[in-house]
Amino acid sequence: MKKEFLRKNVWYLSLGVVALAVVTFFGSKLYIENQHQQEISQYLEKNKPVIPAGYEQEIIMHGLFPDEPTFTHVISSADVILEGTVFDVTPAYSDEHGILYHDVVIKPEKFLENTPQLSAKENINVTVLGGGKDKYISWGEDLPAFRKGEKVLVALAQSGSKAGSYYVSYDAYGKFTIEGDRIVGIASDQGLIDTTVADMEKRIKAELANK
Amino acid sequence: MRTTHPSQIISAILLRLRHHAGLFIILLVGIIFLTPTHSAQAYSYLGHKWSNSQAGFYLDIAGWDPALIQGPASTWNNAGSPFRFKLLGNNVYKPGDRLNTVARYVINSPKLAITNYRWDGSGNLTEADTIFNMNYGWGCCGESDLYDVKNTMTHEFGHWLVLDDLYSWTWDRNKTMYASSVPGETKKRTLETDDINGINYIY
Repeated sequence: MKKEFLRKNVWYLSLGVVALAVVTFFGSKLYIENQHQQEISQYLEKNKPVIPAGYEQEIIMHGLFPDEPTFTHVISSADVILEGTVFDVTPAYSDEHGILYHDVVIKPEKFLENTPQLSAKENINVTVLGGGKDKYISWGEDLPAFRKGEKVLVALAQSGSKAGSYYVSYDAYGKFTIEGDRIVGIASDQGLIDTTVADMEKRIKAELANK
Repeated sequence: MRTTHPSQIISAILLRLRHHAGLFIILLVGIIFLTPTHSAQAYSYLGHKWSNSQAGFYLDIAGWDPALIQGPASTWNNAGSPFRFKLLGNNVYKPGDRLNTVARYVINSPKLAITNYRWDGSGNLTEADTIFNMNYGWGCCGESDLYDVKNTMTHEFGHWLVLDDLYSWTWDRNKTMYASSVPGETKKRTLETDDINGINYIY
């Protein structure tokens, strides 16, 4: 009876199996992508600055990334990757065109990539778009946020206009926070990355080996 | 009492479906595309707008053909809504001057271009500015080693409308408001249905 059933309906059963496999494959893919996006949104929401008293208006800043902010792109586009501690976060200032920036001064402790041969004895100046100035606060949801004393791993690219200055590669995607032996950050292809520092260093070295 | 083996029931169902194979396949495809994990947004609007459904703009792009900016403006103007971008002349970019400006400077940022916008107490937009990052090489015609100005400006004008970036590679990557680009890309020059629905929702 069973054999007869299978013989008669083999085409439909095969179609059913293929359809189920396709639904499962795409469903899983979409589910994972959805999870990653939710994790990234939640991470970036926490990143949003508190508007200090006395500031009247936000200026929202959007931008277009030069490629997908995947873990591979973040690492491969960096000239410098270091672990260190945020020594200072300066007040915002305008450049000659009126574009708002603030600087983050990082005391390096360990270099994983150091193309320009920076010294571990000297602090690194990282320029970040946005900040609060003249009653205005300018920010973008995917800009990296730093706080004084924070231990971080950052992927940095050399600034094209300011000698000795760097910016964070792919903004918030190039900054990871270290707490104890854990490190937390985001990548567009991996969502929230929450792992050990040792594992992160291993992943970065693997990416750099393929650079 | 007559008993029926489950395989007989399934067999009967399948035999009936044999005459409706097309319907069966359409149903399966529908299930795939309507799966509840579909999280992509058709478009994302952040809630501010131009009070008079228009935004005049100035250029601070010495050396670039104004058509590189006017083209993307026309693309949005032809999207079926009453909203209009209008070129008003040349200007020197100065944030906070209430003159919407497209400029090009070196920016200490990984972004290809940034758009800043401000609004008043009523939520009406008062200024939007876009600055192209001259750390990158820019082209007019989809050159494979350069970022395309029209492609990028069409995306940035979407931000002037307060449409937000979209991030789903699966669902959004062909839309103008997708959040990243690559050298030689020109597909953002053409609005997708969801981009068009976005502007028509706002205006």
